[in-house]
Amino acid sequence: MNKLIILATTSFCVLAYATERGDAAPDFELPELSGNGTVVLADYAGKVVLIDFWASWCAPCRDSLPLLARLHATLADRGFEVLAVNLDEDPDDARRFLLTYPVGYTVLSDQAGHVAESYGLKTMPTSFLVDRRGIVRYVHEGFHATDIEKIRSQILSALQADQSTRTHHH
Amino acid sequence: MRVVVPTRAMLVASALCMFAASHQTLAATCSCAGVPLLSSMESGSPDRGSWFLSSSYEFHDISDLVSGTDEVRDETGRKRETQTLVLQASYGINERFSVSALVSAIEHKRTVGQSGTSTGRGIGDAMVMLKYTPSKVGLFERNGITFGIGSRIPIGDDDKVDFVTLAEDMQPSTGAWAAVFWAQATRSFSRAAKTQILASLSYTENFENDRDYQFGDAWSLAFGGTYQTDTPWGFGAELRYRNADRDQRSSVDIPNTGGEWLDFVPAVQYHYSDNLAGKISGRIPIWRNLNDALQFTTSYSISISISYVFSRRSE
Repeated sequence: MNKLIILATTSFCVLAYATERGDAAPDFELPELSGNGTVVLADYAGKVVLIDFWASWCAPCRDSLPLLARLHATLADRGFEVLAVNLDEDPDDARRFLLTYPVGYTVLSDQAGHVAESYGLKTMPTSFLVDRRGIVRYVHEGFHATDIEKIRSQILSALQADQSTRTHHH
Repeated sequence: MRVVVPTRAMLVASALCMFAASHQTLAATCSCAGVPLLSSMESGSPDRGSWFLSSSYEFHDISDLVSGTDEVRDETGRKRETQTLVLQASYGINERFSVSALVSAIEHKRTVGQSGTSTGRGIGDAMVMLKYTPSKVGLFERNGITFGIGSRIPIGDDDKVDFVTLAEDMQPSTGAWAAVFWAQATRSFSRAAKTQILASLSYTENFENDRDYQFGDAWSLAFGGTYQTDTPWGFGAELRYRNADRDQRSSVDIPNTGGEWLDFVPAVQYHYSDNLAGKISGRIPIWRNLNDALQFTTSYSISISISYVFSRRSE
């Protein structure tokens, strides 16, 4: 019975604290999958960041990763970054996946799943678009190839909005 | 001696399994926002605001003649089969509750030697069920459990005539209400939830129809597992035990009805896309112990279904 109560409470907590549009993106520090040190989200303040949670066993990720890689390549010079957070319990599965679907952006390993839990992840893949002030502007659950245009549109909107704000303040 | 085919309890059991087949599913929502993994389809409920639709067809050969636990050679040349079409829809009311409904169309066919063929065909029973899922297998949850309570609704024909009124087991509809209780527990072994084991329990309380006929109350227990490969293919298997009381008319037991069955149920699923999947499954009798002298019972059944999920995407 106690275990059931804990289970129910935990489930409720995950639901109650799912990160939504308008929330401050929970900060995190994760190791790079390549083994080249760690990355802290707060270090990306001032940039528009797409935090993309993915895994090698997620079939739509085979579509999303290459498309996001292309998107990143075209928008990186405008202050756009992708932080791909991998949830494989065995990081070698992720490394093997990336041999088939290589990407040019930063890939992090959330082996224990704590960061994904802090974002209230329920579905794979899920992306959180974070603006220059660290606020979540858009959340995208699941992925179909046609979704990339909507994601691009949201990114451009975030880049332009932040650019306008900075121009106005000046 | 009357030989009664206990198909009605089988139909309810099948309906419950089809109900359970909403999912899965639906439970392993760490799959990718679409049609759930095979095991999910057996267990759960749609996410909030999502719809799960499925259409299934079953062919059921009921030609084994059994006395107690022994199969008997049938000298009468009797052949019995049932074809069932089920349409099912489930909707996720919120994170915990979902509702499911199904309607059926049935054709019973019985041939006795050279005597000819009797057919009962039409709309069968409907069923509605409210499901409560306090815990769902997901990215960070290895255990899932769902409880369901529902009702069988006799919307179809139960008075088909073939010279004289067909026997109850030949009617498309039971003509009677029933209360249905169901529970299923699921456990996964990784975040990807590729491998899952499950156990389910159901109970059906049948009421009388307007000809004072009451199908036997039945309960069933199933244990099984599923495995989703890295390809679109998924596989599952289950051992299913069912126990049914004797049928009654005017509160008097009908001989040669009721008993126990143990079946093996294998299944294969193919994901055409995130949201669309097809499944083929079968039912193979392993053991039965049927009441009284002789009963016709399942030789085998095979079922084909197609399912689609309309996901509510949050932004």
